[in-house]
Amino acid sequence: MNRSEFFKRLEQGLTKVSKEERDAALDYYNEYFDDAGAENEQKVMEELGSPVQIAARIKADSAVKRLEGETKPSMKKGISAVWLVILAIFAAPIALPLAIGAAGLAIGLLAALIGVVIALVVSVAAFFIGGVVVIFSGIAVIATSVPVAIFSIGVGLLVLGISLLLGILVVLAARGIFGSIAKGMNKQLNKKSKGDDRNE
Amino acid sequence: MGFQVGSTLLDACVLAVLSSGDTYGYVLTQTMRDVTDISESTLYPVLRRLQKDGYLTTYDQPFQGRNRRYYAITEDGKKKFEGYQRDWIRYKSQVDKLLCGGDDNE
Repeated sequence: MNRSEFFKRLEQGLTKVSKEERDAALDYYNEYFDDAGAENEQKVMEELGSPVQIAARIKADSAVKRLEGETKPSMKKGISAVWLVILAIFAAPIALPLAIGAAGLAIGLLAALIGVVIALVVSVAAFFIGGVVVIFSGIAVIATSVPVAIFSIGVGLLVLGISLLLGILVVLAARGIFGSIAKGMNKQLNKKSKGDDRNE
Repeated sequence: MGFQVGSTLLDACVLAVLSSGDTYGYVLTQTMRDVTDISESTLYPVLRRLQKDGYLTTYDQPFQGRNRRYYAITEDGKKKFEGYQRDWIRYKSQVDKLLCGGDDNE
C-alpha cells in the first residue's frame, strides 16, 4: 500500500460522514504524511494502522458526538450510532475471535432491545385500539341504555388516556436507552484500542 | 510503560503540551509519543473532540507551499488544564503513598 492507496481507502471509509468531518480528517493525515517526509512514508503507514480502522473510529465518534449535541435525539439516529460503534469494534485491532464475540454480544443485545421496544409499542397500540373500540361500542348502545353507554365511553376514554401516557414513556425511554448504549460502547472501544496500543 | 493512559490523562497531556505553545499535528504526536505509548491514529480523535468541546482552536499557516494546521489552547482549555493539574497532583500523591509507602520519601 502506498500513500495514495491509503488515502483512497480512508476517503472511501468516510463517505458517510459530513463533508466537513471528512475534509478535516483527510487534511490532518495529509499534513501528517507531509511533515513526516516522503522517506518515512512506509513507517508512518505502519504506525497509523489500517485506514479502514481509522475511518471506522471517526465515524463512530462523530455519530456519538452528533447524538450528544442533540437535545432530542431520535431513536433512528440512536440505533444507527450503535451500529457504527459495532462496525468500529469489527475494525479494531483486537484479536479476531474476541472482536467477533464482542460484536456478536452487542448485536444480540441490540436486537433484543429493539424487540422489546417493538413489543412495547405494539402493546401500547393494542391498548389504544381497545380504548377506541370500547368508546364506539358505548356510542352504539346509547339508544338502548344511556348508563351503559356513559360507562363504556368513560372506560374507553380512561384506557385511551393511559395508553397515550404509556406511549410517551416508551418513546422517551427508547430514545434514552439507544443514545446511552452508543455512548457507553464507544467509551469502551476507546479504552480497548488504547489498551491494545500499549500492548504492541 | 506498563501503565495504560486513559482518555482523561490523554486530554490532559495534549492540553499540557499546547499550554506551552502552539504546535502542529506531527510535532504534537511525536511529543506525546515520547511520554506515552499512544499510536498516531489515537491522537486525531482526541484533538477533534477537544476542538469541538472548545478547549482548543486551530489556525492555518503556510509552510513550503502548503498549509500547516496549528493547534492552540483556548481560555476554556487553560481552565480545564488547571483543573486537570490539580486533580493529577492529588491523584499522584495518593498513588505515591500506596505504591512507594508513606509520605517520607518526597
